Amino acid sequence: MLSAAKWSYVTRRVADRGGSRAGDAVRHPRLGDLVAARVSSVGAHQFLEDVHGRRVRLYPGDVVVGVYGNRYATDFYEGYLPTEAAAHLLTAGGLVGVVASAHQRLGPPTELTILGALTDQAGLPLSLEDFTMSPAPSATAGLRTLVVVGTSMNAGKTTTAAAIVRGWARAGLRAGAGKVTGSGSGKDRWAYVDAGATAVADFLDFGMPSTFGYPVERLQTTMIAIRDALAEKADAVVLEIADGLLQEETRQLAASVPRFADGVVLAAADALGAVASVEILRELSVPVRAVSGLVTASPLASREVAAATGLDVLSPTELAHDAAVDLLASTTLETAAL
Amino acid sequence: MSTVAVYLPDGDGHPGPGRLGEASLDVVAVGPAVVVLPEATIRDERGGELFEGVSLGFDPAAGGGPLADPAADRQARAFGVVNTAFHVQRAMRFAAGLLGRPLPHLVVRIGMHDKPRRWGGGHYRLPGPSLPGETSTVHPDGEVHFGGGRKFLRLPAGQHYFHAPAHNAAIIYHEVGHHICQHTADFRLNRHRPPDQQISGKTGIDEGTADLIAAILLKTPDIYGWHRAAMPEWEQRRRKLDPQWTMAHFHGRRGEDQHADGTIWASACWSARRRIADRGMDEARFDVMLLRGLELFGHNGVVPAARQHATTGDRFADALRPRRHFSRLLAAMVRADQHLAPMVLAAMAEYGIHLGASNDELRDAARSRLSQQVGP
Repeated sequence: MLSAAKWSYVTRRVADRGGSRAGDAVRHPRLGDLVAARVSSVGAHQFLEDVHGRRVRLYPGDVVVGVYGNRYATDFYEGYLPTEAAAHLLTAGGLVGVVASAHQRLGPPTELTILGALTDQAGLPLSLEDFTMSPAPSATAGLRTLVVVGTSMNAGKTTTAAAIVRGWARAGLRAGAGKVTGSGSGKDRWAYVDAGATAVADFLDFGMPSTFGYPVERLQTTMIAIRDALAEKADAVVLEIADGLLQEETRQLAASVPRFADGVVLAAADALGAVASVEILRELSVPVRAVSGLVTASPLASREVAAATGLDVLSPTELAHDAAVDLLASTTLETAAL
Repeated sequence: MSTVAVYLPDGDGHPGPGRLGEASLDVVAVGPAVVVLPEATIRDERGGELFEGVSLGFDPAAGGGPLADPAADRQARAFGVVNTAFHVQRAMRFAAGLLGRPLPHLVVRIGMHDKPRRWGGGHYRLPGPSLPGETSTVHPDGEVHFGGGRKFLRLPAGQHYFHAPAHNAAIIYHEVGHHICQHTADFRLNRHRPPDQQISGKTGIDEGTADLIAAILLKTPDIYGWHRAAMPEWEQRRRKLDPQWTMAHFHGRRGEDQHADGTIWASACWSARRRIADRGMDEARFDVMLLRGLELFGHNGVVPAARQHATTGDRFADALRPRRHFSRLLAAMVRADQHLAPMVLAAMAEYGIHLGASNDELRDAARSRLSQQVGP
């Protein structure tokens, strides 16, 4: 059954796919458990990202292998672990759960029937926790690190992070890129690779298919682990934190930035959001290096942000040139262990 | 004489800026961010107190740059000024020794044109009307401008190095090469133009001669092997002097990269110089032939009287056109040293460069020969 299954992106770290079976596990679903499910009906997600990130079309009756998880996406789904055999595909990346709320523009979700949790040859349930990256040595204090946070979902965070990667790569630096929170998707990883990143890591590498619902302490530890994993192959690292600053986990992660990074680049969807977010970050004593994101598509809005915040407002194009390197200039790193 | 720390050309083709070592520098005066030599003034336009003590021995600090702390960046900038001063003096004295006269004082300005974007290059400028973004006060005898740097290079051991042009002898020699050309061959007939109407644009022969001078002083045909190490040696943008670049590759069109056309001329000259050495002669004889040829070329540049009353735009056109031709400088070099002429002409012929023909004619002939060799 599993040999013909469509293995989703969030299972990409599972090395021995042929050695797993479905249906024998008896425990209740847990975050990170691998699961096989049959597509009952194709809804909002008509495609599944395969282990490489390629979009694979879904048909009713397909067997997919995904991972149990929660989702927090203001313009998509709010979703949680299922309690019955009926479930939903929460992301194209293969996150499996039950939709609790949806953005009103969305149609019904793609429906799944759970076939069973995946187990190894010994019958033990398989979890992403079994396939995590080995911890790297702690990065040197001198490793330049910027963190991209956003005003909201779809504010241009990944575009901003990729533009920073591009700018560093163009300048001859080895750029590392990491996604700290969010839901597993090949789209972000490939965006970094395409921009020229020499190393990419994300929360999937540390056992989480989606970060919503994990303790913030775990996320903070993972953030540093991602940075450390990138350090060996990078001169500078950019980390992207998902969602907007009003999301509590994002806010708490942003608050820890001064302890290990040079500062934040804010990706803003609009001028007012930019100004409010800069105020939040300043209250948290987080140094904001610049504002970028969707707001930079409007010269007028960019001028409003620059006037209200006194910060440089840099478009992705500017970041992809010299501005990304200039963001590293004249920064004083205040390093402390988390 | 002051003892200074600089990158010395190693000439062995090792990727890198050269061998860090001590050298002597004839210094007239030192200011906060300026070193004055008898033949040149080298100034870091970004200011600051780079030279506080008496020593001119500075650490290159991996080029400094945006990732360096302020102290390391200051070290790197100070090193850049001194390194530039050393190589400028060496090039100027090389030329003066062969010409038997000093060249006009050269002003070198480092950290130029870094806004709105960083600049990692260099150029030679004269006071003229058509230079957007250029400073209004260019020294009448010419200035070399270097950016503060833009990119990082990877050293063989893996660490990165901020590529400040002032740390790169190849770029320094190339730009001084333009100063030598300006005050010998005067390819653009600037001596016949008003002081504020000078032409800074370069032709292929100017770029090629500047590359050749850089190769001679660096003792390697792979002039830009350090900062262009990522480019294959067979790629034209690398500008390694190589027998593969013949007149069949000549473009000659305005808007094309004049450096690429110049690589043909420089490669041919480099081969001629090597041939002289292979015959057991001192290759410096070629250098004399080149410099005196440039001087003779410059003396033969009077604007025809019939054109004196023409409009400014076309006053020089007829006189300028042949000054692009490789064969014309070759003829001047042959006049400068008739004993070397047969060897040099034979080497040049292998690149499709012959006396008495325009660049376009040489290109067409070379391509015709090439197509005959390939055959239908």
